[in-house]
Amino acid sequence: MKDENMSKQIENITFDDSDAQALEILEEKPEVYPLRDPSEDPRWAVRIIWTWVSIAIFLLLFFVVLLILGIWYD
Amino acid sequence: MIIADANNPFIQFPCSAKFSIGFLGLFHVAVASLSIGFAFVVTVLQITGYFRKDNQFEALAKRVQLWHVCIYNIGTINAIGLVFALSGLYPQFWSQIFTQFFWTMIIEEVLFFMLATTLTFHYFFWDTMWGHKKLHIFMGALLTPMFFMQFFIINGMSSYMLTPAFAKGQVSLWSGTAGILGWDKLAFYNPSFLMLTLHRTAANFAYGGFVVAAICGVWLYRSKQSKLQTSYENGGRLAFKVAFTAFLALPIIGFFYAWVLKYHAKETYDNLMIGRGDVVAGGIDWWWVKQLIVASMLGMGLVFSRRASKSKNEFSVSMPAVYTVALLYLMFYLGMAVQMTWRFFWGSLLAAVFAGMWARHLLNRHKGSGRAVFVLMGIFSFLTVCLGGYVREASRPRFVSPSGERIAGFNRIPNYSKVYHPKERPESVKMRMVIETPSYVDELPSRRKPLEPERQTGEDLVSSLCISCHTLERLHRYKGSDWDRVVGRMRAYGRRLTEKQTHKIITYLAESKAHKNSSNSQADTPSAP
Repeated sequence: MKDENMSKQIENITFDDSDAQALEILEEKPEVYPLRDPSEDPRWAVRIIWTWVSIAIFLLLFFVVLLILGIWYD
Repeated sequence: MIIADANNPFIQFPCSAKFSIGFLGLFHVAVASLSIGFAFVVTVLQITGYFRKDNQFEALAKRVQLWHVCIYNIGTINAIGLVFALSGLYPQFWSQIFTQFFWTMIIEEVLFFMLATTLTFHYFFWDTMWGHKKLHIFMGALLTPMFFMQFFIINGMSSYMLTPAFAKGQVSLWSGTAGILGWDKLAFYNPSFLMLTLHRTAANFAYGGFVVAAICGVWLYRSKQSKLQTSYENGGRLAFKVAFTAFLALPIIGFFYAWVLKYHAKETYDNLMIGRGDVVAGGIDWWWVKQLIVASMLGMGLVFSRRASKSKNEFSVSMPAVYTVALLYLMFYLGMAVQMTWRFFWGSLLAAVFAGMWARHLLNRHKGSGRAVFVLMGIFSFLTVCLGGYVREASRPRFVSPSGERIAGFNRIPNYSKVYHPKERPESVKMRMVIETPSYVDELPSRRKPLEPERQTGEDLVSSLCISCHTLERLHRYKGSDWDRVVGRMRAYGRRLTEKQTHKIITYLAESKAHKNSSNSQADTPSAP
């Protein structure tokens, strides 16, 4: 619940009342990093992120290989 | 400002082509560079927050990433406008560059997509990934190598245009049987490629960091709560540290960049160092102005870093590094003074000293808070990026003929000429050298007058009117013979035709179809023995 409230507060930061809302977030527990248990994260989100990160890493490596091949084979 | 005219077949771009490309290009430089810097700073903030288990850096990182999302979208749209303007106003140039570097352009496009997706996921999944913080930070960190690779590619093309050096312009092994695409590793990995990439990378990190620090400075002014002020001060100092560290690498890279230009792009080097071409505009040498601002940034940064290290602030930059680079700057300015003019040296030194004194005054005034210095450095950084982008383009060699004479609008000989010319390239987009002013320069070519309606045959009408909505292929594929109904349907869809035109079109289509059918049936009929 606290994490949800904190999340909502972070989301609702606007330029005009950013001070007040940012202060609320920091005053709750400024020294505590708001981590939570990994099992509390929605599985669909984690799956999407893992899939995308895998695709991105593959494509990056692929492009690096292409650029290297471009040096060898003119 | 002529947009289009019945007697003038050419569309004039508002405010001239040069201005439009210049504006779009500078806008892109200011925005896209910020994106790269923001991505790096966000990762640094997140990693710092993670290791310290401190929320203030995480909160700042999220806000910076929000701006990054906005800035990236604006930059992408602007880049599209830049591509439209370049390809529409300079089709010869665009055709050459696109053919020469086709595959790298494709990779660039995929990287754009990867960046947009990664950035969007990183911001909008922020709260849903609290439990997988390391994965979230890693995904944000992927933005930096993606941006670097995108940079890598665009700099290959961009530096080629300035230092083509030993490129030959030959067909690509990757172009298949069409032979349409060029690739030349010496074109891509040309003499100024490395220095341009290093310079821009460091400059973008510096720019992004200084702007983040500047925004923290603005918040420091606006905020009255001490906890928030501490948070903004720490975030600003960390961003400043990242930025100033990257900034310190710039003169070293810049020296080698200038060295490369001296031997591979002499005209550009002279334009910058001596002040020629469009580098001097309105009587002001804008490269000098940029260097003076850089000297001011060095002076301010030096004073701020010294104060931070004395107060044992944890985000201070190592003073030996700062002093070493300051010494290098001094040596460069001395060298430039010997080559050019001593005014440059004294001007830069005075700018650095006065800016340093100003920084000390501001730090004392705000009781050690860096808010004012952050804001000023952000503004200076923005100015150097804009001015640097401008002078780089302004210092390029002009389009001149081999005789050295410059005729505006003609003799469009670029600095590079050895690009791959596929056979399929139409004549209209081939570079032509015009030795003398053509005879038609005083009169615009007349627009081809259309035939009078009475003289237009059915074939003329079909090829001029029907193709406004669809190709003629579907006419050939149509198997029916009810052309009167077909044409009637086309008129209902919006094609305006007079009765005479309708009759001619229907007659032509029916006759040509009948002729085609009879030809086919003769071909099918076996010949008599």
